[in-house]
Amino acid sequence: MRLQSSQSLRTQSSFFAVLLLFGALCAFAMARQSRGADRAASPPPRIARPSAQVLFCDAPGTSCSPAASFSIAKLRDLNIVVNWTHLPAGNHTEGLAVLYGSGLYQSFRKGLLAPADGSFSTSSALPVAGTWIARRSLTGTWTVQASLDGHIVATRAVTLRP
Amino acid sequence: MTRRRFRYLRPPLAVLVGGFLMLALTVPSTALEQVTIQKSGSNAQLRAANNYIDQLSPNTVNSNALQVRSLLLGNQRALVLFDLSSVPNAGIKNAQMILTIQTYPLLNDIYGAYPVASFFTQSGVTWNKRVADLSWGAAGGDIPGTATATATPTGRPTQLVWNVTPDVQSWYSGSSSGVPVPNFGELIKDQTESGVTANQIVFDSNSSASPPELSLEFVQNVASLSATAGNSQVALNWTYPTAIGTVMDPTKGVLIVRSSGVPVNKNTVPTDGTAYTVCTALGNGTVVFNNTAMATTFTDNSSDTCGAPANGTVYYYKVFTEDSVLNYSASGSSAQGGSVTVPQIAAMPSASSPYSSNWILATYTTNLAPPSLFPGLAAMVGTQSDFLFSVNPNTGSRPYPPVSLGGAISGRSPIVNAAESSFGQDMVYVADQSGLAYGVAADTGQIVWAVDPLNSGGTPFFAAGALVVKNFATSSYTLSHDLLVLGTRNSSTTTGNAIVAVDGNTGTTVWSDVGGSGGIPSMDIINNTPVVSYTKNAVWVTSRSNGGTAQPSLWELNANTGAVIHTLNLGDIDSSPVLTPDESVLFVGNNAGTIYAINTSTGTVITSIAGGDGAIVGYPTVVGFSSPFSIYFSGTTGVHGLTYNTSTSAFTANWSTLVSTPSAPIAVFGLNDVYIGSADGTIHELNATSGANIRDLAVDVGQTAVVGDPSLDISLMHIYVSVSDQRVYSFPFPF
Repeated sequence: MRLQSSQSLRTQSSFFAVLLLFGALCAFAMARQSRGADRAASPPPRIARPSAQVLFCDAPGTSCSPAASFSIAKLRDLNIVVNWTHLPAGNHTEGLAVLYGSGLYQSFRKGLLAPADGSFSTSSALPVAGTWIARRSLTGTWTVQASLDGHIVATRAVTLRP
Repeated sequence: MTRRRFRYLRPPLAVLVGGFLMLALTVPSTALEQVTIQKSGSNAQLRAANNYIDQLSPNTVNSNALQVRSLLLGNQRALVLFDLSSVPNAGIKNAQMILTIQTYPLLNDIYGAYPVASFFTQSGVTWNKRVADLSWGAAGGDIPGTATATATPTGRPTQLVWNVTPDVQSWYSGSSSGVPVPNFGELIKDQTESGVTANQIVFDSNSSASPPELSLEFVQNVASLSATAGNSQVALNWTYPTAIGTVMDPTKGVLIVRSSGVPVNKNTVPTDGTAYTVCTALGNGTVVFNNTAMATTFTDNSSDTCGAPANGTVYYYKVFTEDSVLNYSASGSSAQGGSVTVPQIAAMPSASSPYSSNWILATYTTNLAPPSLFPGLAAMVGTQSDFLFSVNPNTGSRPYPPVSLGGAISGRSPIVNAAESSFGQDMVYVADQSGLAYGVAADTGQIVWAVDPLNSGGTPFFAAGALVVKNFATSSYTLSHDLLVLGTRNSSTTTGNAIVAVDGNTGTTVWSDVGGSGGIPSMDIINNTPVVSYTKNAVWVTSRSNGGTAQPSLWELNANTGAVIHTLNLGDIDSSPVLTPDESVLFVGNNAGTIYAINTSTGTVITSIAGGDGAIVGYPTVVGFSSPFSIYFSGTTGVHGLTYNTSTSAFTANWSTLVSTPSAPIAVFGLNDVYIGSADGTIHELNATSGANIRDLAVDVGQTAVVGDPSLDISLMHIYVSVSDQRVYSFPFPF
């Protein structure tokens, strides 16, 4: 940001003082109105925040049997299933960051349209057999971060064994 | 005139003021600059798109037209993609998208700008589809739940302006969750869609008088960063690039952050407006130099009060440009990985054998494939975060921002230069895990074509394709253009994978062989790149074979027709085959570790040798122009040297050297060295005759990074490696 002159800062200070006073008056008025409303009606229902359950399978689809550890000698793809709940209806983007150690190995993105009940499941296939994972024995703890609209919602680890 | 005031001017006036500033200030080099990205006579916007998609005509492509409508079951949305090639190496500070209104709506609705999350093409995008036969995840475009910015035509302005700074910063660095974000542009939609009566706004498009504008404010990075290591010292040099746009705040100097043992990470981001004193900790490094006088050199030695460089330790230096009001050349916050594109270099001081990298390129994700090379001119790197990078091998700078594609790129993409290409341009051909194949102009990053060659809704490709270059072919090659041959990796079937060939000029599918169909034997997944035999006008492809030898794993196909010439059942193969220079013998190693010599005329096994070290990694490397040929290959625990004599039709095992989970080896005729990436963070240089370890060059030992398959540029004598620390490194070789 540009460094500003002292005169400019003084002018801004006055402006902010007026703004603060106005804001305080507004807040006072709103608080009074809010208290009045509290007496008249019950609190609004709490809106649940979007949540995600991340699962790992060795078979495709969203209804596979999950596990927490896989042998790369037998695994063709690691199927990453994300079960979303409490999604606001409408458009969203899902991002998956697949981390080997602390570094990003691969990322996935999907667009989705959340239904009215806010539940949605996705599956993404991380290739394993014959890939860099198998060729270079990238075994150990892997982590998948699931994000919604660019914000991380869930993180889960999975172990890949030789 | 401050940047803040400038930002809030209406765009036409801003442009005028910007023009005045350009005349008034005579700063010759980088600084905080402003430029307007807009299609014009001097900016072709080759990678741009501007379409609208229509719910009423969900399969209609509407190119070069921008309109947004709210109507029940008849909404329209606009897609605006800018080509940012003119700002390739910079930290983005501000971005305003400006559309000129052609027709006003009846109601002053609010219009939101959303970053598009999926790849689309201007020639193929509709309400239902985004490219070829691939659908959006959600019909009408893949976008987040909340607009980045909104604008409304209240008061009938001539233009609408959206502040899209977070989106553009994320295209250069990453999202707030630290994940890289390809640039697929912005989608504009009415915030109150599905109105009972139609409410439509029309904007000027790239074919109108006032094409869409993106006003960018940015700080360019330093250029030509180099390091020279010596005895207990490292000398850095750099230059300041010429200004691209209107200079707003002139350059002051650089801020250099040093880290020992591990690279300076992408989260190391100085805060704009903050001055840093030397020896201040910043991110995972330390500020070792803060210059205010346009320095172009810094020598880190015993006078460094933060700690002199110690011999034998690898130091990494990240150099931020700094302007007169303390804007640094990072894009966005620490959480975004805002310094990911800021130049960095490595050096190891030593009394006897110091070394330094030529450059380091951050690629956001891991891909251990060797970079593709236009020797001396460009290195191309695909990433598993859907980017295709180009880098100038002489300077390490990017000629344009990475090309955003539709899926993870895992292989080494074939390239051909303009003189040899049937298309007449430097081309790189890419295949990705979304099942798309692309022809990309390597000089500009323009996507010439993007296709789903099997028209199957996206059958993944893991391996890169092989390119049959017509200029190299004999007269038996009868096709008009170069041919890209690809193999699928559809893991849900062990029998129904495919090999498909695509016209290099147009992307049209020329032929395809689908396993278990039309007389083609069962075909399992294909994990590596085919090889072209020009003398036989054939393509050799390896595949898995469902874990046994009951179905083929080595295929020879006619390049013109795809007709199967030979198949061999050698058991699962994940490595690429290689040919001798005269193409009489093909070598291939299977997952059991056996190397086969194949007679290419008869398609039969001549002989084989058990490697005894697990699956062959990547490919064997063949060196020599005549028999006996030297063959080097990697297994699970080491690297091995063989010779093959065509007179005796026999292999001879020469040496084995232990290397931690080695990459594929690389060697060139005339140099008696073999280079291998290792899982210990180093590149091993072996004596090709004896296998003796000459030197292990530390790339990133602090994180024990896995070093990928090396490429050798023998015109510059550079070795390039992709590394699991999400970077590509260039070093001089021999070490």
